[in-house]
Amino acid sequence: MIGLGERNGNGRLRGIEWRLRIAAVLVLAGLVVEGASLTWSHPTAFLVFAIGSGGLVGVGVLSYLHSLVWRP
Amino acid sequence: MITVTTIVLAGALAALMLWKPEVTHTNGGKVLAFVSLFVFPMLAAFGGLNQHVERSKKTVFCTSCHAMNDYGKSLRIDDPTHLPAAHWQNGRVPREDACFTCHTDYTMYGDYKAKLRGLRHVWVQYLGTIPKTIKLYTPYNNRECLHCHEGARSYEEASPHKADDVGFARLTKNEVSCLTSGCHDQVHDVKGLSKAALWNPEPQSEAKLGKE
Repeated sequence: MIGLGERNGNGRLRGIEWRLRIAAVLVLAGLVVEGASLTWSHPTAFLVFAIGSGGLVGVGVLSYLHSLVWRP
Repeated sequence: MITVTTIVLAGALAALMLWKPEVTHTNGGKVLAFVSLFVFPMLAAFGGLNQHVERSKKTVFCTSCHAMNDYGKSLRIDDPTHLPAAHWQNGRVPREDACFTCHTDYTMYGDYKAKLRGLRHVWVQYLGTIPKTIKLYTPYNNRECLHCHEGARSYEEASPHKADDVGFARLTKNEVSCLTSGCHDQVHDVKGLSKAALWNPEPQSEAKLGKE
């Protein structure tokens, strides 16, 4: 993943961009889980959605919001 | 369909943020990041929740748990005095939403209450002990029957409903129960299910009924 974003003097991605990437990965994973849960009509699918997808998207969004106020 | 579109769009935007987080160096990129990592994920989550709640109203969904199998089968009992079966077989309730139609509360927050009870059922299914005899939390309220039947000719003209000891006012106030006063007491006879004759509709009707 290093090399796609802007680098600082040490050739590493800036901290905020790492945080954005982590948030994006979590949101993407949550959306994949949500999509999978919607292919199945069963109480377990609802649990997978609520706990799996809700958790991943929730942590992803919170991690994005945290990156807005984070200072290196 | 809207939910699927939202999920795909949210996924594409999140992928863009994963691929090029440096777009946030510009003001437009900052707005894009907000839309990608906050607005669309929240919209997709809300859409998903809505879809799951709508699905949870389906008869197929309710009867997908083992404990509810027999209750689903009881809808096929070939006996017109068996109340749930008569409603389901004659299309008096939407067949694909049959459970929810009768087991929601017709009050302002009745649907939410019913769904919260459903969450409790999921909890019991996975982490609790399923009781041998499944009972309602509270006695069945006439309000749920009258939501459809009040004003209907068959209800208004039935002489037992007009009788002095029953009366429309007492039925409306739930002082005389439709189900437990000895009038319409044949509900979900799961204990007698093994001996009961079951209605097997024609194949074309079967397709309309769904897999209950």
